[in-house]
Amino acid sequence: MKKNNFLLPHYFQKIGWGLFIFSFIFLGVSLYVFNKLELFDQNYSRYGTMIFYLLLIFSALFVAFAKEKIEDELIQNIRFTSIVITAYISFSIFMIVWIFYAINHAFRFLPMDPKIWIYLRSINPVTMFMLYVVIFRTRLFISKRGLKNEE
Amino acid sequence: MKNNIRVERAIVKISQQQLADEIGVSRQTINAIELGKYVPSTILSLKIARYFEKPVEEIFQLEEGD
Repeated sequence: MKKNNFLLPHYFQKIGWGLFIFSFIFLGVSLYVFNKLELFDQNYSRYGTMIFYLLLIFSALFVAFAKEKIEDELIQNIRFTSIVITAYISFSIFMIVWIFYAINHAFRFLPMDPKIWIYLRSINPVTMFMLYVVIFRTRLFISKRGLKNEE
Repeated sequence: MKNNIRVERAIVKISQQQLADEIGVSRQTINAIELGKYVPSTILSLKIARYFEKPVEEIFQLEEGD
């Protein structure tokens, strides 16, 4: 009895981490070097930043949903509960940001710099993957750490 | 649910890792089952029972409140 668990093969994890480091470095480079120094035309720099950002999202997806070396039912259980925890946390962040935004819109206790709000609001889907990776890896690490005391 | 995998393992003298490899799961799973932190699926408990050549009920028993 084998069920399809909709996960990517294990080697995607390595590809994902490689791509993550690569795109993270180049995103930083393109954000702070290309855009500031204006080495290239502004439009080209912006496309570059966008492409590296897209790669970062894909790498997070690969890392998050590649199988473990031994993907058994306990790991899947940890995966499932991690997704639930991630959903709760990111939903809370999402709601807090929106409520804060609405209150600020009404009372204007903070300056309405639109850039900050755009960043805060667009950060959510990507951070969900990253948050999931962090939560899942931490819980996997805790379950592995418990092994050292046995036998 | 309680189980006596640890005892069964001691009888045939194999480690958690060996049992995990034999059944095709990770060592964490065997460890978590032994500690009672995780209840295995029917498939996994049948596999474990088959490995020790005993009926499932001899390895896994229901507890009060299950």
